[in-house]
Amino acid sequence: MLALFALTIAVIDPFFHYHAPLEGYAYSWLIADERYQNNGIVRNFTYDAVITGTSMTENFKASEVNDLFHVKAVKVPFSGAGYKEINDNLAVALGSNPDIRLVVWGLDLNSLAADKDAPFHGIADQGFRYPWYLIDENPFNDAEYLFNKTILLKGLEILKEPSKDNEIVFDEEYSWYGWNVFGKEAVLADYRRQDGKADFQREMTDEERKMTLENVKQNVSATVKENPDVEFYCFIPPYSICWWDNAERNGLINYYIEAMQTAMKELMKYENVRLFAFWNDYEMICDLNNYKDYVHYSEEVNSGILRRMAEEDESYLITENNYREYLKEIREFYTHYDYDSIFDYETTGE
Amino acid sequence: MLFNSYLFVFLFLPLSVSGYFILNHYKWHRAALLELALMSFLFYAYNNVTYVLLLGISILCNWGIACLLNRIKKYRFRKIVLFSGILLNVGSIFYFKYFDFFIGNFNVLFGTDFELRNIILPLGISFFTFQQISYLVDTERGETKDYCFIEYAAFVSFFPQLVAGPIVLHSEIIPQFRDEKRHYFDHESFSNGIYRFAVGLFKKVIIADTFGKAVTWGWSNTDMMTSLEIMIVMLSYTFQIYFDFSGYCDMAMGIGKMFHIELPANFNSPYQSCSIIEFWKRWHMTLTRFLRNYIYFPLGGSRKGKIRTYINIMIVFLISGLWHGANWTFVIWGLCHGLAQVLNRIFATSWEKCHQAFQWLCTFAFVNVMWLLFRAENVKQAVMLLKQMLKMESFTISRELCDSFILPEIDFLVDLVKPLANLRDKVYGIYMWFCLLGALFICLNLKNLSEENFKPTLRKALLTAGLMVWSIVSFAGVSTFLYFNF
Repeated sequence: MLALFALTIAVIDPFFHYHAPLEGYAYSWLIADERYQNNGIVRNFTYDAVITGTSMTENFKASEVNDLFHVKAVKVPFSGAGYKEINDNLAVALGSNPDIRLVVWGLDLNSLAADKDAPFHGIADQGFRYPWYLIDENPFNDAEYLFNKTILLKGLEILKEPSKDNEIVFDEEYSWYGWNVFGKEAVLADYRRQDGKADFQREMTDEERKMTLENVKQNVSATVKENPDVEFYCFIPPYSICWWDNAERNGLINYYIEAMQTAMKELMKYENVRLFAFWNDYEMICDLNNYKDYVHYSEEVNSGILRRMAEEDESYLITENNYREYLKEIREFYTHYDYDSIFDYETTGE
Repeated sequence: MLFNSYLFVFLFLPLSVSGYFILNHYKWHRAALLELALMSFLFYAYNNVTYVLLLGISILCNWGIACLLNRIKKYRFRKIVLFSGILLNVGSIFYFKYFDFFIGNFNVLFGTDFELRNIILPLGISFFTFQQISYLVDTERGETKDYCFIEYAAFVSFFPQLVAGPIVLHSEIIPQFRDEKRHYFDHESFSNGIYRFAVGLFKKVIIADTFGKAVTWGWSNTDMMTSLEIMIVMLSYTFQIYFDFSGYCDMAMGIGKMFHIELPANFNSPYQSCSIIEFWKRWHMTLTRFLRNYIYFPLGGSRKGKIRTYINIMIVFLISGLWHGANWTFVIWGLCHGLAQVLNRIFATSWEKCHQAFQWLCTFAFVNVMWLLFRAENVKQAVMLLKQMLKMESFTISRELCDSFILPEIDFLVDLVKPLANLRDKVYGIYMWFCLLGALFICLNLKNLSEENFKPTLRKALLTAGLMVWSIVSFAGVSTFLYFNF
């Protein structure tokens, strides 16, 4: 009975632990399952490009990446992840698939100045049991996967409606644009502005600068260095003006810009990295209709990011020559922005 | 290590049982006992490696004291040694279990600011120290025999009962270790063991853990629960604690039987009790036995007049309360049970005249309210919940509470049968009512496993396999990661 149970799970393999998905079946792509599936995806799918990052990368359409860069991409985002978690998965990908040519990698600013081994935020306190049994190389703890009724039920769900339309392309998969309301009203309804404001915008301490650099070195540079033949298209996702409002209220504008500077200086060293930052796309950032809350942008923004990266748009490509100027300009902008104007006028009818 | 883990079921249990019988087969009985003791230490070490040392030291010290007791002839010296032995055991339990509680209360009382140690409670310390105290007392009374150290170590650390009882006596276990007939694999005892283990596993993993989800929900929403919800959560906890603990004991007895060792029963359908006196004869019976033999009787029991009897009962229940945990909730819980016991004695004749249904209802309700206190984080919270429940102001039941009773596999099957699916969609919270009624049915109607005359039949085999598989595949769920803002 147990063997039959385990066999069914191994054959359907809802989390791709042993093999690529059975063709024509509708596997589930819950954001909640990313941590169960991403390891299997990078080990068992056929692909030569990886899209990874946090929720800021979930709305990327792999088909667009495929067209723009002439690759076949998989998307393996981790909601709310820290740098280490994303990099660990990427290392598995690069270690197990020598065909990889391209990595599209979202480097979030809000988790940049963090300990290099910081866990994914928001998980620890919710009693989430990380599925290490799917990730480590110990075959014995696979018992937790093979003798698990929840996974069997997931598997049986998958078998229900086979169809040729169930091809996995990583467009809709893991995305959330289909079921979220975007717009200024939604953002402002969700965003709770802090009451008081910090007296001044503080600088980073040496300690924090060191921590940031270590985070980048361990969780980005090391992988970049080890894979000189892979092109890394890294970008810093543009959060909304409300995010900057929050930074200003907390006196952290300079702090974040310095964190960015630390990362830029480190990553520019590598020839196989193209680093993009979109903080100077002011029109987009200040238009809250592009967002669903104070950080998450719509899928059109994702498409724009891809297009500009593929074109190597110089306004956003960070280089040795322009990064100082770039940071100075955005510091100027976000320091002097009239944040109260966000909340000033009527929001109805927007 | 937990009984309900893959490692235990697939690896540890088969290894330790087969090792034991293989060594016994070659007549290496000492080696077999040594294997048992070592495996037990391994079992304990899996939770916390450093505390294995504590277990080891505790066994060594008590063994040393027992040896000393056997040598000393003079009555007074024997008493002194015994007293110091008990003090040592109580001291260690006090340090690990009550030190922070004591310091915390001391700070509150005297406005001091002593630092708490945040000591992690060694698993099962209450069980193995009590067991060893009883051993010392019996040694002083000259009731223990020429046991050797390995026998003693295997008896104390015997892993089926190490972390959650039953509290066994040397006279129950060591003679069985020595009994030659028990050295050999016994088909019937083994199959009975597996059956009992499977039932216990099912009680723990499927029944208790399902109620546990509702209880967890309740205790994370204490401020918002309606009167009816509190009642349901309270009942759920009553079932959770029973199925959890008695399931654990069934597993312990089952494993014992696999080794061809009989462990004493710990439960005898306690929720069928019609009085509090009866309840304590049926609930956690080995603890009651310990308290009776080693505290109540030495205090004089009921031989020194009524008032002393009542005082003795209160002392025993105070200790019982404290034994359950370092919190005022447990102290008050113990005292209330003691008081109920005393009242039960005082009004015994009038109580006997009441209708049985009334007796049962009162007893069950009392036990329920007591469990609410037992589970509460502090006395204030218990009082708040009780008040809120008795106010009878609100009777809605939230979707979340109802949903915590859903077993995904049952829901999946119900989906396949149209009429059942319709019924489920029409009756709000049907799974919840089904679980509550089902649990009550089991508690009131089913026979104890110990009373069953076990015969290995095909039906039993299928039942065992079914329960076992169902439980095993429920060990690990898929943890849902709800990070709302992604």
